[in-house]
Amino acid sequence: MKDKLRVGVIGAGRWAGMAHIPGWKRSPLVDLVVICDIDREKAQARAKEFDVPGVETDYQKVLSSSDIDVVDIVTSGDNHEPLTFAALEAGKHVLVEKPVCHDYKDVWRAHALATSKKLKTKVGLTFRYAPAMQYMYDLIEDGFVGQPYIFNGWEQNSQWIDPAGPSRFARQDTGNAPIKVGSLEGYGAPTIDISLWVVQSRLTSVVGVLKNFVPKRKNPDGSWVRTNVDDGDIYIGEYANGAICSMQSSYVTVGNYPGIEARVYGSKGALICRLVEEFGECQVLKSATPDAVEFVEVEVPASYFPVGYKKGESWRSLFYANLVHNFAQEITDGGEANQGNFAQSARVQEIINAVERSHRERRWVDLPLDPGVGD
Amino acid sequence: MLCDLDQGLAAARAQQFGIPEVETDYQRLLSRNDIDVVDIVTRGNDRGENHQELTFAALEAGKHVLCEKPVCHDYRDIRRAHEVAASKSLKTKVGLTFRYAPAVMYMQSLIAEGFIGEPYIFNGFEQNSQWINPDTPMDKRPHKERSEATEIKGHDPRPEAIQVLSLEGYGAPIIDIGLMSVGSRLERVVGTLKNMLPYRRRTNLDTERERINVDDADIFIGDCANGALFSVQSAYVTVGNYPGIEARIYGSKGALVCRLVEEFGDCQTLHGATPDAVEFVRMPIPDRFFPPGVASGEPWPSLFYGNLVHNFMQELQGGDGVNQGNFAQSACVQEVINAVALSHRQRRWVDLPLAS
Repeated sequence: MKDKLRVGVIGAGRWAGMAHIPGWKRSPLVDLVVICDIDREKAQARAKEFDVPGVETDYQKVLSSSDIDVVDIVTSGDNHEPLTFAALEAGKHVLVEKPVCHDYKDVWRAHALATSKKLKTKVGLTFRYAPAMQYMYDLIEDGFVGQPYIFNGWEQNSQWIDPAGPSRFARQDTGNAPIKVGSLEGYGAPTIDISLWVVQSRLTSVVGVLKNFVPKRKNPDGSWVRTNVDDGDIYIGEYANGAICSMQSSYVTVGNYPGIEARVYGSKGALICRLVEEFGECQVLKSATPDAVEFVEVEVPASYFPVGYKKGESWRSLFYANLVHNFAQEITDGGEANQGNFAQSARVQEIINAVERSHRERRWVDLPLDPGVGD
Repeated sequence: MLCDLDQGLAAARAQQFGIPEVETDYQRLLSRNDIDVVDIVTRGNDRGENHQELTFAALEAGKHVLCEKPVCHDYRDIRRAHEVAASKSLKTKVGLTFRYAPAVMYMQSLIAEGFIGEPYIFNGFEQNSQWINPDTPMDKRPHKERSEATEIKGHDPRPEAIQVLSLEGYGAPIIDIGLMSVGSRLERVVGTLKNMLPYRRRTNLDTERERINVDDADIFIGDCANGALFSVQSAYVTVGNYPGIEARIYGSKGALVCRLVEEFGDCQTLHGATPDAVEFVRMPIPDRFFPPGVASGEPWPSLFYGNLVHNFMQELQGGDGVNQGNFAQSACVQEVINAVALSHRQRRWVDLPLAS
């Protein structure tokens, strides 16, 4: 029996506590050995909460430790890129929350570095790991939809619909600067990932529009600032295999968490997967065929659920448990498989960069953006 | 009175529905003084091209006109027809059936009351799998002999020469509902039309498939004048039941999702949610949105059209300026269709209104 993978988590915030750390604890392939955060108290609290032996405040120590195989970067703020490169340089497999880097070319550089050192990577593209999504993918692989025609994706909820809503952090006053990418990157990425994965083709062209629906927001100190940020966006795209897609992301559209919907229509059938907390469920998969055109619910087999799953488990821990265990399995098996890795994240980030360009230049933007970069 | 070129057909329908008079010459119908309203629901050779001719004739004859879509293929002609009607104080209505579904009428009533607040995003769909099988004749009429006149052309295989089909036939009613829901005109659109099944059987007389370049599926997005975002998808190659409408509107205070799809015994549902109650719950449709004489479980074609016709009759008797879903609205819808087609052919955003 192989030795367990030794994991260090950098960043002890809310998402680490809700999703990452519980996921590592749950995988039989993993030993979670250290929690690192610049805030020692936070790190200690998490370590105690989850029974993790080591606490650290200096990430360099985690990276230079030869007793760590995998580093999980789940810091808030803009430091994912330097932490990622440092971890790869140190010879660690890396899981990192999105965005890895803002420019997709940098994500490809990170991927190239990882592969040159035979390291595996994984990005927090949470939603492909939902049991219902993994099953939907397998059904499509088995030919359920036939030739794909249309993909429609949404990632939306009403997290910031209230301009005066409570905010944990002060928003920047954007002044009259042009609209900044927001929802498209923060919300859209995982569903853009799914749109490539299930259609099994790359996008050749996109055209889209970013909108700022809430022009001013209230900060914790009571002041109102101009927030010219994309809080809702739509793009349409064309695939190399002839399919077309639409993708919408927003955090000002009424609806529950997490708020993903993925629909695939093909020559032989259609599948709809909703990851939305409704009526006690966090995920539902439905299917229809030309001979049975009413969409009916499809039961997701037990094998798609992680160890320790209980009905009614929160999606926050459920999906991430699958993500983390999948990563651990890929590393432990040592084969070629490495889904949702930096290469995939680079493709997703490239689309985000392309849609942003499409919005600013008000035109279709062809992909690849820079032939010769990536694959 | 019932009029059709085919005397036998007209007589049979007249008997079926208890209609006293039958005619085969529409000119005679139009010249009657005891006819107030004309309903044009002909098929014609070229996808209703005779709608335009019949419409103008009926308006010239001083009749109120209900006409199936498309009234005309070019939105400028529909606008002209509207102006003729308005100049003669005539009301018009177009067969934009789905805006008269009780669920849609209730949805619009809620929007008017402020349920969604400021509109942010509209997503519309009109899709089903009617022509997902390439052996289903594109022209479904039971031809007995070959004829040059055909409503399905698609002879030019170049992507930019794709014949608009789904966007006009399926897209029109959902574009109509979308414009109504956001309460604003579109300022610019960009879209893509796809010929998903390049080879199809043309008619029941054809045994072989041939290359037919028509729009089987399309998606467009747009910006509205009031700042809302707009998307519409129409297709007849997407698995799903009839009629296949879905209209979603998201706003600052709430969201509504209306589905007109035959599923689990219902042909229409409306669901709503608010920021304080984010799970979409079914909203039962009040009785006042149903037409007189509605039967429980009534099929949607007669249910929705019952509302359309009843609404037209109310407007004609109302005597005020109200006239929803009329030629002016149809012209707006057709203009959007024309703009999206242009957007596809020239691969760019197209501004509205279109330059004449």
